[in-house]
Amino acid sequence: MSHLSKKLFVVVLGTLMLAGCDPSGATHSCGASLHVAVLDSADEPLHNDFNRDKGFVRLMFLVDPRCPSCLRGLADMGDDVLAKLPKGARVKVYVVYEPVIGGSNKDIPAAAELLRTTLARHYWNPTGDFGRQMSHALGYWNGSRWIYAWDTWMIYSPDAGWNGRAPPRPAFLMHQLDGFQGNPKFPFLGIKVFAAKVDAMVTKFDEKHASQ
Amino acid sequence: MNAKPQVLGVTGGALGLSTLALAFGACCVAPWAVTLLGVSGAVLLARLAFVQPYVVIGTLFLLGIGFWFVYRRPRAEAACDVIQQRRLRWLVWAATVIVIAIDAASFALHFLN
Repeated sequence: MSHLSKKLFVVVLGTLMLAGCDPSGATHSCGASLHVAVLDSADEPLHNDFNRDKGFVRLMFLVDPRCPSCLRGLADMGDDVLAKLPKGARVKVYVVYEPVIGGSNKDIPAAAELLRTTLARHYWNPTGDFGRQMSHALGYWNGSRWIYAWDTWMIYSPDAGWNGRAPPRPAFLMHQLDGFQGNPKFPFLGIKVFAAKVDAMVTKFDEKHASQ
Repeated sequence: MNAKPQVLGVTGGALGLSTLALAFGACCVAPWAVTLLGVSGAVLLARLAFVQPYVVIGTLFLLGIGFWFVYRRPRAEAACDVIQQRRLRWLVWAATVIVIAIDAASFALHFLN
């Protein structure tokens, strides 16, 4: 092989590697390991995990792993909420990925990387049923228009339980859905507000925990 | 003075900016951003999406300049080139229709989710 051919081979190989691997190095094909549970029709294992983690402040994020605003939300949550939690904070994070605009489970590792935390558990809901259930649970209506629940960011108090079939209503939620623009019932995601709510709930629970 | 380069510049600029506005508008409902820009690029696009209204204002401003070029009173030496002036007016009007359609689409896309 001539010197030029070798160079060309290296360039082509490098390009193929770059094309196959996200720069974050988090795709399945690049060997990163991330456990992603697939939700079944009874929302397991999320249902069980949620109830098992009673006593923790629980954050639940509903996103499509290819939606840029969801990815931005995940990055903001990682940088401004989770990274700033005190060490040992009693917080659990569940991220439910839904195929709203064509995201697939292959996109999850790169999206999950944005959270920069090991506190999170990741769930893939290939049917998108969870978003429909959550939409009904949250009363996601804007006037007469029903809105599918995604790009939604929720906080559950430590004593919240998931009883029955439908997912529980959170103590606080924010979203990035233009369909709810200007609707005071469902505030648009402001990361500082969200972080303050998480902080307040964690502090309140820690004080309660310490006094017992 | 021949206004053709300026008119082409501002109409082209308006079309380019309206495409950018469309990219900002579509970024949150279209999966292509991750494919084209990667996860970090898509996050950046979403973070910059707030500039979309300003980009749209920029397109209208450029169109305004285009109209000023083609409808201002020509100087005596340029007044003879009536055909070119008419063509440039057509160009600006055509660009206006396209730009307004793209700008409107960039806002309409917000309401898909």
